[in-house]
Amino acid sequence: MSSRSIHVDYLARVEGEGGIHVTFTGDQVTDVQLSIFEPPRFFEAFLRGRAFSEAPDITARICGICPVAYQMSSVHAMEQALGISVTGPLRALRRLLYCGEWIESHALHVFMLHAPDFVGYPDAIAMAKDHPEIVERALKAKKAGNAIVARLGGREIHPINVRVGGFYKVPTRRDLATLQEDLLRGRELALDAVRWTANLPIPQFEQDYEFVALHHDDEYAMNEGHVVSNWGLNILPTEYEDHFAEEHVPYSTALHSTHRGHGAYLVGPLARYALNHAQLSPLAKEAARDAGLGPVSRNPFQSIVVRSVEMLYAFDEALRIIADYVEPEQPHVAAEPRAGVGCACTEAPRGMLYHRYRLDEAGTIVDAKIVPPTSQNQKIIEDDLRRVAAQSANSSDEELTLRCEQTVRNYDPCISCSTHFLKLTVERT
Amino acid sequence: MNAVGKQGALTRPLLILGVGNQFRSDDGIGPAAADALHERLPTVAVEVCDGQGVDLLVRWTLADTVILIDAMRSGAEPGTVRRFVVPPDTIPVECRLASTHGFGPAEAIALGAALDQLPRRLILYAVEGATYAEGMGLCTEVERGVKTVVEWVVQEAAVVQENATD
Repeated sequence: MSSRSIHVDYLARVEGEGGIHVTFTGDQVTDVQLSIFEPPRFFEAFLRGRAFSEAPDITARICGICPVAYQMSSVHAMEQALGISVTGPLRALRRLLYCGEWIESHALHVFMLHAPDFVGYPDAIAMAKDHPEIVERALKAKKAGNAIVARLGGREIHPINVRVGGFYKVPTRRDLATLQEDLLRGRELALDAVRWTANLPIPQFEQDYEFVALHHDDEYAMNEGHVVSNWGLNILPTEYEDHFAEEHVPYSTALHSTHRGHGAYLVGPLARYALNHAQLSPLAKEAARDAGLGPVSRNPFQSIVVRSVEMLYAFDEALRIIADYVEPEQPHVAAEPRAGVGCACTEAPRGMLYHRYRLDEAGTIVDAKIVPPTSQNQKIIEDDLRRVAAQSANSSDEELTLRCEQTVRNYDPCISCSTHFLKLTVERT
Repeated sequence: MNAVGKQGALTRPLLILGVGNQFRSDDGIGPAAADALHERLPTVAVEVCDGQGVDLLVRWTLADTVILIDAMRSGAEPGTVRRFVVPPDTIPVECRLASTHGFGPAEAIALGAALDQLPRRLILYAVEGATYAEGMGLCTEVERGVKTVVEWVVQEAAVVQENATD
């Protein structure tokens, strides 16, 4: 029987180094591997022996795209271990900081990393020559997100103003007011992005996924909530490891996560949207409806539209937080060391991020566990690749390669986080 | 002296950007040079860019002349320094600069050219690194290269500032 294999040695427009290998025997897909060959980075081991207060700044270095997510999961986990909670304006400021990161990350992915797949360009540079307006939107939206992170975090990337218990320094109302003009413009731009992405040629591809995300009854969850799924899961982040397992696969330096007893599951914008649609702002809900999205989308190629809806929501929510902001009396609540274990999940732009720390009496980290969203999505990405390749078995190697790359980019994988990533090989035997 | 730029906003005559991650050994070339230049050129805007290449476009739109300093992996001897002026120079393919999401300074320059969003004058100093493993500190040959770049940039900045006040 004839065989065929497709290899992408380095997948472009994703963060890090990895590859795809697809093998056909006749028309049947017999093997799919999403291989991550970047060396593991041992951050968990690196954290052992460090003070609890160092975790936010150390973990922020894991990723240049989503440092806020690492800071947020680490501070929430530490605060649980130390028995403190952060409420009121400090909690709101953390949410505002997260809005900034969602805007930065979604703008980059929607316009510059994912859009070229839909409009037929190899990259954003080629696309910019014919469609400068698309890339200019990305830059304007990103600039507004960067400004939030810079204002609250002290600088645009790898913020340095976040600490266990709150912030080192908090902004005044006037500080935040200076962000408003760019955010108002950004909100309009995001609204246009929802309309624009809704009209892109989106492949038909629906699957019955188990969506997993944080859920909070009163807000579109970012920092806090229960871990829920559309298949009935409803647990606290402290129970995460009872329900989810990580396993090693020989062709990847990143661990694969599974839902025990269920298998692969999906985290990220599609999951959040499906589980938390009711908590979106009226504007974001209306834009989603006008874009033809129901309350659930099971098509990962539609994630570009959902990501745009979330970007719109993040602008809307940032403006709401700024309007309601009351300067707190203290920039942080006291965090005294004690022995304990703390766990937290927060919603990184590309999906749920789990942290667990165990501390001794002096507040020194005894052990740490970090489960990034890309590890959690790896199995689902492989499942999608298997189905996409089967659907496209009669396509040329070039067409199949492009479709497989697009399939991976649906998840905005961050291989720096899962370890770093990407290359496609298709093998036909 | 500030001037009115393309978008009608005030521009800075000179912006120096050290690109890289100081926690990845010789990828810290840009930040190390920026630290030294910060002391040597107290009146010039000197910043570190340790994140996404695309942010370079956002940063340099309001500067007349931009000097970028970055690590390169071209196969040359560690510490080798190359200088490019864009335009007319282009960044050779073999002169690989570090990036995230496959988008680093070389891509930012190409995108800036496509969008007509390059500073009037863009100068790139690239220093060959030896290792990009996790850890802080530069190897000896690379440190020597950074010292050379710092001296050359100090000279170049003096000329830019002089022209700006003419």
